[in-house]
Amino acid sequence: MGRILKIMEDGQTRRASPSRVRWMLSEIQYVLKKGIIDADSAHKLTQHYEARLLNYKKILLYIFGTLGAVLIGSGIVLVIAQYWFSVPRVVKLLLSAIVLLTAQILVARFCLFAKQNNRFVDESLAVFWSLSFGSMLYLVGDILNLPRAHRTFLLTWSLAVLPIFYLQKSIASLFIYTGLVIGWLSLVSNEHGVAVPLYGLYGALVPFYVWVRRRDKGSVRHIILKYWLAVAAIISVALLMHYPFNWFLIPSYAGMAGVFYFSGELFEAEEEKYLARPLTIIGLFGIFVHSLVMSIEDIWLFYRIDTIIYDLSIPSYTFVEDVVLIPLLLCAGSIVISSYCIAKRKMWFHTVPALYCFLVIALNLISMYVHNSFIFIFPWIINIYTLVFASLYVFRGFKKQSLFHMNVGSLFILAVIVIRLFGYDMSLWIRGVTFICIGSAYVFLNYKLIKKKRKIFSS
Amino acid sequence: MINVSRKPVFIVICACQFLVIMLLIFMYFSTVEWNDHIYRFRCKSEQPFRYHSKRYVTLQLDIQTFPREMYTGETNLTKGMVVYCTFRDVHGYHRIASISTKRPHPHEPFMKTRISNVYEDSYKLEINFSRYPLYSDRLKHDSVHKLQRKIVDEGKVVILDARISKRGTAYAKKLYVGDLHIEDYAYKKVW
Repeated sequence: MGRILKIMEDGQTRRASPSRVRWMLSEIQYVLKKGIIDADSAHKLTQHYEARLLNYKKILLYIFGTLGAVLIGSGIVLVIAQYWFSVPRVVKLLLSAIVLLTAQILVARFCLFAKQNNRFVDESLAVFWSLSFGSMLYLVGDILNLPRAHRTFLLTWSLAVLPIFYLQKSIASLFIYTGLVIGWLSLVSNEHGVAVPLYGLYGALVPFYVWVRRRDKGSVRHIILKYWLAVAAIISVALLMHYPFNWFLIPSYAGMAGVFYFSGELFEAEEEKYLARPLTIIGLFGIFVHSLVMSIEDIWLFYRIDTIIYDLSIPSYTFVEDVVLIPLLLCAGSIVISSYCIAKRKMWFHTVPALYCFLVIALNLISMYVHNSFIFIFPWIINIYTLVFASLYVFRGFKKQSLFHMNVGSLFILAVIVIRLFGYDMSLWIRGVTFICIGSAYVFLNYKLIKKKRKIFSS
Repeated sequence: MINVSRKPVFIVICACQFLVIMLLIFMYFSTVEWNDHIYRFRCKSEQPFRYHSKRYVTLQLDIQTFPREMYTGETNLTKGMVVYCTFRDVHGYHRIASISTKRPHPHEPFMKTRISNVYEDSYKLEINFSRYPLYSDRLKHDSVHKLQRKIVDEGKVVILDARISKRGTAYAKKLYVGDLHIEDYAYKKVW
């Protein structure tokens, strides 16, 4: 991801990896020596492509600068910790304020009163500022031996980081913020009414995301942010649902994977590189992993509503689940409608994954009224669905000459077959032959596609 | 993003950050230093084998668990639920008098806490002031471990002197082993 450079020229977005740019530079020298272009053109071209390489170096500076700020912050804390116990309490309190004060002064000097704003400096200082507030909060708690209320500590810290990343327009600080929110959620996930403040905390990210999307759409910054937010959403739902660990987990994840997949297909369709489509990628693999998990018979037996045993201390249905589930189902519904729209535009291929969450919910409901001995049917239905889904991907890959689609489809088929092979008692001979067949088919398909591509290219 | 001048926003953020810290310090002093209402809890010290907490004595308070019969409320107590405890003095130590999910009368002193676990016959409370720090240069790597072994060997009663704010937040003030403050005891017996 980091190796993709964005080149904006005359309103057109063009991408080039640093190795390609370096190759281009060497090629310019080569054609100059051959006399194909004159020295003036060579100079202009060299200048043009060197500017692209500089952009790439800036990204590296940005990453390592942020890392440096984290290390400096941690180092200061450790040095102070060495002599901590021999210092009087009042001095300790003042010392703890110095770190935060230093961060604030640095931000004022190098970001607010600087002649020219530098994103690298803004990001680094935002991280330093965010960490210094947390360290001060922790130090004050430690000096005064305040009660160890971790949830209050994490919530206060995250609320303090929130305005920092808005002010500094810093993505690294946003990562700290979401990390803190996830940390807080992990401590309070089993309590009533957590979902509402959680929506508030994540809702606070929306204006920032919209701003990044408008300003740097398609940039590395935007893509990383999307990946991060998608992962944060998955972790948050997992934390909300892990206790009590119940039936809602299954449709919630299926629904969420569907939401990601179709949001990606709707909003990221113009991206050429698949890696630059985080929502599609996460959604696609989410559906796939979910379908693989649902291939296990024991999961169906364990998760049936009538077999769930609630502990005395766990309320059967809590506010949290209801609040989380309803939007997920609504989103899934809206996604089906949007996928219908896509299908009308001859993109019928996307309607298959749209059905997944509803298939899972329907099968779960049916499984309640089925005897245990017939439960094996449900994993098979899911497997057939995955095979259809994967075959469509292979077909699409072949049709559009896309190695990504073909390989992903083949991978899904392979995974389903492997799961089935290990789910039943079969001889090693059968397993071995199956693997050889799948492997050969995989190599053959790739060979055919590459050959087809070469043919088109040469013609 | 709305275009606002960054400087005033920056000043407001800085002020708010310091205000939060000042509020914490003020709450501590108003409860612990300027409050005469003492709560004395009997406790046992636990063995801290965690390296990062070697300077802390981890305590297990008597009030940490209470039998199910003590709670007479209508709603079932579940893990993470907020509860309010009131205390009574029994032979110089404080013990739980009542547990409720409703906030007691404002004039009645109470401690606000949560249910940390539910057992068949009892409930466990979340006690977040049960860690007592030892501030001393003489503290060696295994000092706390030795100290705790000594307390157990001598059969001493460990008492935590705590303060509780009007909002129900409890703070540990001092830890006594018998009649001695823990650092004096450690100075005499261990270091």
